[in-house]
Amino acid sequence: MRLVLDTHKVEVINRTLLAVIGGSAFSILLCLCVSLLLPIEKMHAVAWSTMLVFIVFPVVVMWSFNVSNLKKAVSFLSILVVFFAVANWLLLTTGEGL
Amino acid sequence: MKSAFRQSMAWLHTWVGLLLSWVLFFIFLTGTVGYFDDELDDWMTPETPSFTASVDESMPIVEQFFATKGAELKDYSVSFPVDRTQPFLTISYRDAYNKRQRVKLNPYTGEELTPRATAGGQTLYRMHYRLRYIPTKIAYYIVGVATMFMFLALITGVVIHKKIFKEFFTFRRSKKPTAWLDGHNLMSVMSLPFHFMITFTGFLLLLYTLMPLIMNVHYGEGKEGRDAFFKEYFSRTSVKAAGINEPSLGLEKLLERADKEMAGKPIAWISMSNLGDQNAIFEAGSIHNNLSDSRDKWVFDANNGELIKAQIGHESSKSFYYVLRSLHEGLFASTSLRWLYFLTGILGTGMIASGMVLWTVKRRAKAIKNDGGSFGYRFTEGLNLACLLGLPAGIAMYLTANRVLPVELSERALWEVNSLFITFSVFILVAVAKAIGKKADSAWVSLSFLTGFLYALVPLVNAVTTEHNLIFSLLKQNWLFVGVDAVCIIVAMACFILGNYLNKLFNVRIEEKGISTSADFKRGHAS
Amino acid sequence: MIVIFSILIMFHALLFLLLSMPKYNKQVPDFPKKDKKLESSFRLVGYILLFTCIALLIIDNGVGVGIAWVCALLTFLGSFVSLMFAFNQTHIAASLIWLPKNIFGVISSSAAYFYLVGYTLLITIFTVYF
Repeated sequence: MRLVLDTHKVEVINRTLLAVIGGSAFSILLCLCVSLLLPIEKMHAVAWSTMLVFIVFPVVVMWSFNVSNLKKAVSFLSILVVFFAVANWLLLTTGEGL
Repeated sequence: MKSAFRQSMAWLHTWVGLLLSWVLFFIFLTGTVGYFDDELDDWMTPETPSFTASVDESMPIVEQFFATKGAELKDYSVSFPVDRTQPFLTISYRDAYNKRQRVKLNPYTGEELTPRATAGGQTLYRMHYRLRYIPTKIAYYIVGVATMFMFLALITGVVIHKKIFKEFFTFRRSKKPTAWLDGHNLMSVMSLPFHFMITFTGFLLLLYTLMPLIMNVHYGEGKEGRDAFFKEYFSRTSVKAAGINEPSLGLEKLLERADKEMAGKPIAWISMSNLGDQNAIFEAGSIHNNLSDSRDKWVFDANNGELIKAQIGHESSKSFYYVLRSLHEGLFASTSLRWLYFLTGILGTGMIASGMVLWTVKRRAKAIKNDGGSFGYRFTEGLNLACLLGLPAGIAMYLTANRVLPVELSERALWEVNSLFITFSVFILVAVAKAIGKKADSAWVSLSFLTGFLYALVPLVNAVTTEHNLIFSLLKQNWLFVGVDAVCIIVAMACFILGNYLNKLFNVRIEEKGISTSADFKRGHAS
Repeated sequence: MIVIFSILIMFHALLFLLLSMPKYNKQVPDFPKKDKKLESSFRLVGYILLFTCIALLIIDNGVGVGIAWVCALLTFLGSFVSLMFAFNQTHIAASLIWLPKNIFGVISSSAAYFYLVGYTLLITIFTVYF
């Protein structure tokens, strides 16, 4: 069984990385943002947003394997990740107890 | 664009399905058997009968027990044998040395029961999410990843099945690879609502272990954050003794109060904390009947009988969470619904199994042309075969071991579980060795017959070692033992039919080619 | 009791839905082909009966448990109907259309309405007497 890294396999590995790393980062940051913004009791916000992670993540995974231009997808997702990271940092440092 | 989407989803579906199919098969089969965990517990302690008694019937024994205990017990709980989860009257308390003690009593005579040490149905069920021989935390992550893979497999499965409603009832049994595909689709499509529910609720059961980050951001890092969240969310409050003495109302009056508040629901358990103190608390709970009552309890002040809180039902996210948890665990299910849960679980296990088989069947033709196929193909086929037959065989051995291992053997519970995995390992070794040696066909046939034999053995061993053989159980209407024997016999027959079918299938191909040797993978004819 | 009743209603509902699809009803010899009216009436009655048994189960068991029953029964009856249809199309179709065929002489929309009226009567009698 020779492991030859042809273009197909490289593509698969790249999409898997995008799906798993990008997907986890995106879903966690998005849902954290949601939990900080939801105008309900803190414990319920935490509960709903944690459950939401398990819906957002599969969607991102499916998207990573379906999108046609991988480079565009990576940049798109990275921008979103940065956006939500910044939003969360702002919400956490300035809006304590939002 | 549409077909590219479907193609990419089809690729994703095959790979997420296959890579974790063995773990998923394990989780599904042990979980399905786990719906009868309490029944198997009873089956595995055959010399100890199970009882049904209400609170009123058991109270004399409870009072007698406390009277003989002498020292005033400050904290205790009593579970009454009112449904399948409680076969005996169980009293848990802290003894004079503050150690936890639990005693099982006959609710009518007060005699102490000593069932044999067994892993029971409980261990089989717990393996379903804790796996075995690995630290619990790691097991949770593996199960979590497997659940995510399955969730993805379900979603992509729906997406690629274009005409899912038009072809709702399709099952083409004669065309070979299509029959497997149709069978896989049939089992999957019909049980789709169940599987989406089971997979998603599976996530919810491990929610804060798999995804603690958001909780930690809001409540603090590590264990303290987790404890703080759980205390607030799951209302885990315990009241400490105030140190001031105050006499309690007495068990009889408290039970009357509980009965009144619970409005006709049967009392399943009671618990007393800080008895004799100012902060004495008396709690009572009932059986599970619907999707929202899994945590219901009534909390009383034990000294004046006042209802402090009726913790029934939940709000907002907790309601969502508990309804879905109840759906997964099925604790509310009556016997007939429980059988349906079990059979649907079997369908799900079949769905995973047929997916595994479909993968090899599809690649068989190419593999045969290529001199038995690549090492990866042969190894996968061996592992598929080992899993599909080895785990069921292991469960049969688990039941047999319960009857055969001597009662005095220390750690017999551990050895029951070990015997399951020893059998499983033997199957893996044999199957993979044969598959790599291009003799997978003969492995399929011989291991099917072996599994069938092991299942046929269970009722026989049961008849020899206990008095609950099939005939006596039918006469005494002891449906538990009838049920287990019947299922074992049915599975044994299914294995024998499978072995026969595969034998004919593989041998016919050889005869077609005019070569008469033992079933040899290399010479099999592609369908 | 209600469970057995719902199983029967669901079984017939699924058969109505099955026979309303040309892909399947063309495999049944006696069945009139390409009859749009017939297909739509079968489909309509199929859905009505399906919703009826869902309602029955929910009313009897409460929403959550009722839905659990519905999903479980749908799974099994769906698999049962598909499998049986694959093995012998005429027999399984007959379990639905034998009675109206003998009463009306021909398979038509009247078969669908016959079942609808029949089940409505049965349910009303049942609720009145129990």
